Amino acid sequence: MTVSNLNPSLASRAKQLVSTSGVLIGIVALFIFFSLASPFFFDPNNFLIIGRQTVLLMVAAFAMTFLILLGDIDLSIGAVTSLIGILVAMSLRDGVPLPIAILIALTSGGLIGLMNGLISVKGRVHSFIVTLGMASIARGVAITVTNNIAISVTNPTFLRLFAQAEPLGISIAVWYVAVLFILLHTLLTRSRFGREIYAVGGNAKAARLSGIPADVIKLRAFTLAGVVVGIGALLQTARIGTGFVEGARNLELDAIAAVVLGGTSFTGGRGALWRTVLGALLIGILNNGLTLLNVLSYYQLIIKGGIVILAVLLDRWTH
Amino acid sequence: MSEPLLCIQNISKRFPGVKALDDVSFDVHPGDVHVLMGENGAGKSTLMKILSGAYQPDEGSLTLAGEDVSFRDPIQARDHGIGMIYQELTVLPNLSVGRNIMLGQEPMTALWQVNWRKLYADAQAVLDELDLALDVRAPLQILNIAERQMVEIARSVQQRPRLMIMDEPTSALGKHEEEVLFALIDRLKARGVSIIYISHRMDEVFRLADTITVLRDGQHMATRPAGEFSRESLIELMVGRNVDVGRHDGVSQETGEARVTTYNLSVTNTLHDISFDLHAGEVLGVAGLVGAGQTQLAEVLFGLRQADAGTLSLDGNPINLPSPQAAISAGIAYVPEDRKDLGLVLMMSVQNNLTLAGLEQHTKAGLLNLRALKTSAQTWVKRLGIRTASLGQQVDSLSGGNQQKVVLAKWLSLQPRVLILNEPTRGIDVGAKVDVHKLIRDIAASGVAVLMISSELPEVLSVSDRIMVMWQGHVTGILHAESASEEQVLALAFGEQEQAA
Repeated sequence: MTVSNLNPSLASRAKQLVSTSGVLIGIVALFIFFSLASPFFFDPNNFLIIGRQTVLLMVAAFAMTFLILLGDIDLSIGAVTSLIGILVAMSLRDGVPLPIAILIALTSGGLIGLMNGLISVKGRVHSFIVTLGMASIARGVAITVTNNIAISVTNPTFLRLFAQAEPLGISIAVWYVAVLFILLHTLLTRSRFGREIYAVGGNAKAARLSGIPADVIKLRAFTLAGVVVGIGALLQTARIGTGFVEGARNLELDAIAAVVLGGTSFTGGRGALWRTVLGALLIGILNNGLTLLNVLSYYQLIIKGGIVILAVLLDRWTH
Repeated sequence: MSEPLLCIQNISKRFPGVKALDDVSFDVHPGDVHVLMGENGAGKSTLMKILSGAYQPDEGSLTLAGEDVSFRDPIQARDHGIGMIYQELTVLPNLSVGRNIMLGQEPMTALWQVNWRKLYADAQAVLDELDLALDVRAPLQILNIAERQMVEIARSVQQRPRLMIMDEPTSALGKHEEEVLFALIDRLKARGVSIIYISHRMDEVFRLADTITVLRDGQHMATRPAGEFSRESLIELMVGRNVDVGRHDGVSQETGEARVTTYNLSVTNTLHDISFDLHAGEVLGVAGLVGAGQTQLAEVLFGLRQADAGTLSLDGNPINLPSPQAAISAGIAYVPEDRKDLGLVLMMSVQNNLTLAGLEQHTKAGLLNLRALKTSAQTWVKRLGIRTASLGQQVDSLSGGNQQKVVLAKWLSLQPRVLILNEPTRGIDVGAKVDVHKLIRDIAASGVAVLMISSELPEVLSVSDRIMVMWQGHVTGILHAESASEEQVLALAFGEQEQAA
């Protein structure tokens, strides 16, 4: 494991470069490629579109980052985001005041996250299985309460507050996500809770022996991730103007892809939130560029999947 | 004497930094119970792994019934008629007794299907032969440990071994179950099966052994009929080395008040009536064979395990430690035996590992005082002379000795009142060992009560003020280190009562 500092081989230097800035290299490469390949890509308006398209993914990926840092995962993010969107749409339709509807979104997200965490921690079941089950439950509930019919949101304040407003010409969703990033990034890097997340994710046994209550840390992280998912659901519902069963289909997969592409270790303990921002940007640019090049969406899926697998292999190789 | 079944000739095996076996030769005769004895690290397990094909020797040869053999893997050894019973059971809890016995030897029908009827009939035959009343169709998980061990032995017997190796088979058994095992061994013997039996228990050694071989530091000391040994001569052979350990110099600690007191502390099946005082300013060494309950005791003292009976007091006040957090707030620190698995978060930096246990005191409104953490880390890296390129260096890249210092510094930075050390110098090089020993003495001198568990006798003798010896979850004696001899400690570690002291 010792890296010789005196005369690093080419391979180890390459590894260093990929591990610290692989995702940046990827973004720059895609940026140059799409700028040359499509006349519509290099355009400030297109950049704003990419930003708007990417922020929803970023919110989900932030939640996912906290869990992946712990060596956990949440496969229910897509289904839960859709379900919370439906709850919000129904509440507003039935005349529930806006602040209460927002509160419903955040608490239901937090409660579902806490439930995932409790089952996983107390039942000693890996979150992969727990959240896979929760995804199915959330989807089932969503279909039951809506009869699979989309519910439109017409409350103008809600739409303006979470989607349509553009302070300084930039979508309000981007502002929310920027603030959320600063808060969560501070939490991870500057707070005791953040440090404990890294410790538990890196070696739960050693963390416990250092007096860190690993189970409590996990429960808190699951709950926090759930609240973040609730925020994502508000932005998502306002953007598409409806709550429906397929509202955020497969969002968890893109979120996992963003985290992993950013270079956060899938086994926990190593990674950062800014990496997730870059990973999500990479996916956003890829989606946008391929669409501008008129690549069919199935091919987009194949390309995206290939890139994610490549990123994991690179992570293996560099560590 | 009959022709030997197995001749072990000039076997040597090296591992990085140690010679685990050095030119070992002896014979095992048919129908013999051949007991293998030696201290921790004497080379018994290595030798058994060579016989069962798990390791290959660097030098030397094995002759089985007159034929030269060498085993590439355990399957080859098994095919030559060598069966192995490990300390940890290898039976599969989800399968039935019969399937476990016949595992890997399932009879097939012409259509490549398992012939279940024959499988259960064959398994029943083995159980009958061994006179074991177990239901072949019962799932293994409903059996107790002793019964599972019987199944393990039945599986081995089913393969018609000529030689069976048993590595401390009674470590999980109660008195009655032991008798069942011994009866089984007698029956195997009567059928001409040779048995190599590793044990640390004197009473069962003399009950079972026809022949005894003693290993010490990888070397063969003696192979003689059991009748030619006494307990004393066995222990002397096992220790043997010229005991001339440098005792810690300087004034013998005038130790302070009793800081930790336990009275009849017990954990079911693990610790029995543990009573001792640990004084401020002293190093109380804890000696004993591997698995005598030392780690479990440490875990009780650190809140990782709950005692079922007895009391634990700190400064004379009874205290309850439901969790490591509670122990830490009471001023107790624990350096576990496995640095990489339990002591450190390897992918974290030196600084973040060093400050991990003390985050609370550097937190305000949930936020860490990063500058204070850095200062604290700097101070301790300097104070303990930890060699690292920077505070941000991943702790993984440090040497074993420096890693151990990081773990120590993590606890010292909290200024603990009680420090529990479990194998504090395992796997670190000689130079670093000296450093760590000196550090432990300094810590005690500053008034901390230190409990040091170690399986290395010289370490226990040279660093401790007093030595507590454990055997199978009991305290068999507490000695003054100045006057204790290695023989005395070892006699207590083998369960001899305190008269030795």
